[in-house]
Amino acid sequence: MGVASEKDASEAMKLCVFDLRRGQTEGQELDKILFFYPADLPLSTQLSVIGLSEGLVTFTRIFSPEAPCEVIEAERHSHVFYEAEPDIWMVMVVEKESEAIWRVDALRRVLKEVHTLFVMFHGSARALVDRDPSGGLVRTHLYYFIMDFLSAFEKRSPLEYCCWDFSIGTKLQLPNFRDSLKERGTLQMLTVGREAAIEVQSLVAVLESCAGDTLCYSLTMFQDLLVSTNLSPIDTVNLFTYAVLRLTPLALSHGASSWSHSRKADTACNTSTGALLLNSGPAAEQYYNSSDASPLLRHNYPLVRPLQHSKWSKGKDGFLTTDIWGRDVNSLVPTCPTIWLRQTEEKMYILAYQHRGLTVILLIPVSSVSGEQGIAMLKQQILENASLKMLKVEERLSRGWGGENAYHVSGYRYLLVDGDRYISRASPPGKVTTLTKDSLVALSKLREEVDSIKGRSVCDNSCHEKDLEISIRAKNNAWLIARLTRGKELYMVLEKSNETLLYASEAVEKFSERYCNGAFSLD
Amino acid sequence: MSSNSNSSPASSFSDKDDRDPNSDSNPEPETLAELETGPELEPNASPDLIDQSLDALENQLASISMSSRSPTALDDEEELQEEETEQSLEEPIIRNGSLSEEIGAEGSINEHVESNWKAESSGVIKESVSSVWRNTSEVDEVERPLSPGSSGYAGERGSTSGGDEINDDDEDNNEVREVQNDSVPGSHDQWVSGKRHPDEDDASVSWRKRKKHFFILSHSGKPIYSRYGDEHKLAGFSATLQAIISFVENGGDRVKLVRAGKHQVVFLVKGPIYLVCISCTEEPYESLKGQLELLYGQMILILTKSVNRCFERNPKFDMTSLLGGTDAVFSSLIHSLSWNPATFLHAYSCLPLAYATRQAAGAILQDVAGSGVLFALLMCKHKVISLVGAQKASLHPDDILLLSNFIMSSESFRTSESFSPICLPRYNPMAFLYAYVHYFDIDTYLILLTTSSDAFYHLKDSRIRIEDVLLKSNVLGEVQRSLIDGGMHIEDLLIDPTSRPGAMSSHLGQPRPGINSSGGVANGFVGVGGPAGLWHFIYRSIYLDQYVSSEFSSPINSLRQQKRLYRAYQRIYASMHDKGIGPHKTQFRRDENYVLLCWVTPDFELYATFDPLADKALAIKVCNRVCQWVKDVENEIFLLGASPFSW
Repeated sequence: MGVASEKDASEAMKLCVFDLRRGQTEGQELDKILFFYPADLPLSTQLSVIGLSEGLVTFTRIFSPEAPCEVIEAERHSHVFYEAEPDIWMVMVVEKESEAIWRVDALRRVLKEVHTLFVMFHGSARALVDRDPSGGLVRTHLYYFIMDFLSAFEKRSPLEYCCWDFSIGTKLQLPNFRDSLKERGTLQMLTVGREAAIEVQSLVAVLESCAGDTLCYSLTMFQDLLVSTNLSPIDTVNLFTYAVLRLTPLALSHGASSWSHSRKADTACNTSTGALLLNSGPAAEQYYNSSDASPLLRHNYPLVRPLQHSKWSKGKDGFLTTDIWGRDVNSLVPTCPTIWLRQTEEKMYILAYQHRGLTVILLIPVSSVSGEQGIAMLKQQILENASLKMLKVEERLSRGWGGENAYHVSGYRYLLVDGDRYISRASPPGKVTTLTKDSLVALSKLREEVDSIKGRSVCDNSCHEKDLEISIRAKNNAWLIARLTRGKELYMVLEKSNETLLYASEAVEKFSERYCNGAFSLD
Repeated sequence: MSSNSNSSPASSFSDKDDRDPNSDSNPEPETLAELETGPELEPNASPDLIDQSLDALENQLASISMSSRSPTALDDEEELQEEETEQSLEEPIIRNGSLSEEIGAEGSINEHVESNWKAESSGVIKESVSSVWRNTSEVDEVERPLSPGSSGYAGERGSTSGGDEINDDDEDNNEVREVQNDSVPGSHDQWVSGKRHPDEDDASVSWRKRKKHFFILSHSGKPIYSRYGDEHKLAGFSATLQAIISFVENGGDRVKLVRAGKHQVVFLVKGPIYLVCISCTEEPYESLKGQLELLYGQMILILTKSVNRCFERNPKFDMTSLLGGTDAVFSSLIHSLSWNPATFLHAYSCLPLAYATRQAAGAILQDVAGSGVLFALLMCKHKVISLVGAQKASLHPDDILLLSNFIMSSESFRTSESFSPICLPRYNPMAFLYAYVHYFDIDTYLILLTTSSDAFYHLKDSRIRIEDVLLKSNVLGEVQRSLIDGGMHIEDLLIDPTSRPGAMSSHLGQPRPGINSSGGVANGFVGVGGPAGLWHFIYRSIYLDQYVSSEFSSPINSLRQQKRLYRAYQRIYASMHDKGIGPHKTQFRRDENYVLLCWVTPDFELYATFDPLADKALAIKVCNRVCQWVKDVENEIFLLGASPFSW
């Protein structure tokens, strides 16, 4: 493995997960590392990243015991901290360059997303550490999970319509200033008419009845947009995120077409103490922790890689299938996938049915279904009772849908966030790209400023929510607008309105009246 | 001058060629000696002159250390807070009335008295106060009622407006704003600076809870200055800071900022000198960094950049001795970081004066500037009355700020005419200049800067000439009047000139034609405070490098409110002047406290504060009127002659 060829990738981004409860005696520092990307970075470098991180967490606790280190800004790098679980820290180190103008909060949301998804599938990292104190188990899971997650940032061309695109070639492409009109970790909703809503509602009722007395949850999506759900907001966001990554028609088609290149980085392993190293060849399921040099397979835990690419496909019956969760030894029928719900801490089977643009995900408690047989029966029930309804719903929704530019408002480039409901809506990415770099950078900085204002009011625990209005006429004459009110946020760039402050305010007012039920109107 | 005897002082320290080579009595060696070995005196200096200047230096140092010891009500009050370590330090403690009076009565309390007082009173204070003020977690945001007992410090000089100052965080809780409407203008300098809480260290809970720390340390981790606590006790902490900086440096990078909750740790590396600010004051990074730059500049003003050589020779060099007794200079600078807009605008402000008066002052300064004087400044507190530079020399506003801070925070300058080596970091960070300083009255002082170390008598003569003229033309009297009248009062914008012609003549000395021209607008004005809810403004002229700030008026009455507004200006300034994409052209910002309107053009910048419910269209109209008003009176509020030689 050529060190030089690796340099670009390793320079661009580092991501590590470490546990401050481990490796506290001298000489044992390596034990803290649960994950490190790139894995082939010299251990001394890995240790120095973690040493600095730990040092600053400790140092900042002197002054800010409740909220230790969140970010280190250096001349060439930003180090973004996220304490995912008590004493389990995730740190991302990104390089600053001309195209890489980061908004710290956006990067932290990436960390947050990878962690919440991890927990959804594997439970908490701490629980895995406790289950296998050697750390092998948690390291293995983290490795595959985060690498699979990051590969999403690696694989698509930036021109494609997809907000999960982090990559150009093999270089990781993290959300930067060009993503200023996006909000990670939020739901994008489909606006449906009254009649469509009623039909969706009755579909959900039918689906639930299929599950009998069991309490089940459903999540209905059209394309990459949420139509309806009865999950808790936090679980909705997680499942929605996963669906958009791997389950929706768009995700499936991407999965089929790509996933061929760009995974050379981790084929080589420089084995050293404590580092978890892997092959990604066919024998990739082989892994070991060389600190005790024993394959962890002896634990006999099935290794599940929910984010693995191209593993989901649509079956003949319309249900999405995958062998990620393994296959039944006898029948070779794929095991039904499961997730953990954050809200109820229940383990649920996921059943996903897809018809054209429509994806319906049903969650059934593992405890209430008798294994794969029960699942098969349930599927049968759904096909019998609901498939026709799903057809009709799909038809109606696709008739009412305006395509990917459905939510374009001409003259405006906007992002609307409802923080209480984790919902956002934004100008379509294709339209956002028409903005100049200057406008987008300026908006990114404005958002950074608003983030810190929001952060302060969180610190203050002030019960009244921040009410804020900022309108900036930038050097390039674009208007940048940020509005916060009652938990809702609106960001806007008006490039062609070469006019006065009053004109800009009026434009916001109009937008607010027409698209936000007047939430941002002044009176 | 022991250690430096082998090298000529002039050659090692000066890159000026106009220095008198015959001067073996120049004060430079002392400074050198001080640099190298601490405040040792030059033995072979010519007696007369050296007496003079040495006295000055000695006085200066003595008074610095004296003022650093001399208590203020607030110092005491803060120290009292330490006794309740479980309490948040930001929590204010109200002094009780009688105690405050006691302090007020005491003209200059010495250390002894202070400690007595502290010992006696602490119990009482704790008792009387804590019940009132406990459990208020966010002091900064909460407007507090005034306590009847809280005006003691203010009562001393009748200058503060109640309990606000003690509600403030450590660094500025006793500040008295210069432009307070009901106070003696300029009274902020009654704030007595000096080392605070020297008994604290990083193990103290109280120390950890201070809102804003400043540290200067050497690249080997030796403490040089700490705002709070004893430098020597902070050696370990200092080493930690150094370790963070060098750790990142070893990784081929340079740490700028660490953020943790509300706290920011800002790092600035200046060669062998490291500066660090740890703050939870919500100021933007760029502002805090600028403050560290000023702190560094203040150090350079005292020592010049040649102090770096000490570190070249000995990396473990202990610099604290060089700065001995200058605590007051730094703490007064830090204090001004929370009230003086010059610290972030990088512009200076002038005392409002009739054009003719300022002309008269300028003329005589110009007169002396030719003869060996590099810069002549006539100042009233931190405001410029007039300044003149020789030939093409120009004075950076930051240098004016640091110089006036140095002079005002050193007691000795007030008591005798002084001749002191100083360095202007923006002018030439490597070399000393010599400052002749003389106070004409308690507020007004003259600074004559020269490159020649033996110019004392010459400058004294010049000063006498200047004083003559100033007295004859009654400039000093006008200055006192201006102090009382203050500057631009936003209420004056409200006056409808057609109905009140008598009010046309303002204390600025001239009727304001601008009001006539836009009289129609006045009729539409509504809102609290000034016209259309205008509360305050700052206008900065780009070409002149000067700014003018309106007098504070209702509802920005209390120091707390003034400081909050100051911080809001600081933030919007930083937001407008982003390094990468700025400056923006316009910004309108409304939050629960204000509407801030900022307007940046190639000629000027306007920052205006309105009632949070202010109407946009009206606010814009008012801004236009303010600009017109400023133009109308620019003769009086700005120093106009300065521009040609300046930039």
